Amino acid sequence: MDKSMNILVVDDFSTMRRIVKNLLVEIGFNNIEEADDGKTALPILEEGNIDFLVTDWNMSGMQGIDLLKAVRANPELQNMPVLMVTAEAKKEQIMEAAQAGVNGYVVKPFTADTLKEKVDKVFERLEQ
Amino acid sequence: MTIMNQSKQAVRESDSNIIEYRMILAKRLVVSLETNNNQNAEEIIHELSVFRETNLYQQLDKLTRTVHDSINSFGDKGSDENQSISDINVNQDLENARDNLEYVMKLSEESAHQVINAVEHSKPLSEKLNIGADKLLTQIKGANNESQSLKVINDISGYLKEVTSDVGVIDKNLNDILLAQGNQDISGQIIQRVMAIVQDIKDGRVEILHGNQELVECNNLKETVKHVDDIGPIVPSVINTEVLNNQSEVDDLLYSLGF
Repeated sequence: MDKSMNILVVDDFSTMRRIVKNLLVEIGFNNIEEADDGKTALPILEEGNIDFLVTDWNMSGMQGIDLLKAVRANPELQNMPVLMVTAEAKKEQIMEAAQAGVNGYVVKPFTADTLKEKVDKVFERLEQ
Repeated sequence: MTIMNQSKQAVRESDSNIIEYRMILAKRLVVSLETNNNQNAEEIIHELSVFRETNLYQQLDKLTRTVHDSINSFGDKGSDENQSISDINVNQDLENARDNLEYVMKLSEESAHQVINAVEHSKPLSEKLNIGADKLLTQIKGANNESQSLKVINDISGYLKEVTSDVGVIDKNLNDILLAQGNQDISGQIIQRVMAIVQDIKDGRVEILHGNQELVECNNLKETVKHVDDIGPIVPSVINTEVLNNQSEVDDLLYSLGF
């Protein structure tokens, strides 16, 4: 796992973006961008400089699940690791995310250790 | 069956024919008045009045049901189209909505305590390190010989070990403060949903008050509420068997899917 990778954190609540960003910095990542919605995130992703996407689900313009599906549908982005960090905890939603190709799923509220564990797991599975 | 009763039955079966039904009655009213058939005219006026009230009650029923379904969407009850209006317990619905807002208050209180706890645990450590540093500075200034200097070096070494340990604790406490702000996200989402319900109620009420608007507005209302349904953080006011309770359950589900 390359700690210099570029990460995009997407959440419509600025406090949550700051929390996730700070925790990622704690883990050792330093190149972190933010977007406040799936709609603003997609053009950033399409620029091609993001290596890892961390996204919420429930956003007003474009939901995280739709952003995930858009990423998987784009040949340039389809292999990007995606971690959902969200308050959505319904079984059918988690299954929908899994079927859409999410690499990891963290439910809010979460601890710093949980986030680190899930990030590590995303990249361990990718290396396998 | 008279032609009027036949028309009545056919049109009432279809909400989209409300206007057409009114037009039919209005035309028949005009004919009755022009032919001085006052009894028939009175019956038609009565029919229009009854129909208008029925339409209004139907809209109120739909609004009540929509509000009930919206509030229940916080849990997993969803909507039950077969449930009669008389069975809908508005008081219970409002209790659920109040529970949601109380949960928001509870989250805020928990976050505040988490922050205060972290500050209370960190301040004594910070003070201890400060006192230790002052003490060492005094020692360093007063060290006049080799023996005293060696002691100072030892004390500095011991102090630095304390620093490493205590700074680790302070760092963890700072993280706890950071994570406590995460409840603002969950609270905010719940409040947004309650605001959406309040707006739906306001919109529905305004439409009814504006003179018995068509059921299309009620249908639009339902579409808006449908968008609010099934999304947002889980609130523990209603037992919800389709929702997972913690990260461990999420991990179990993902494991069963091959993750």
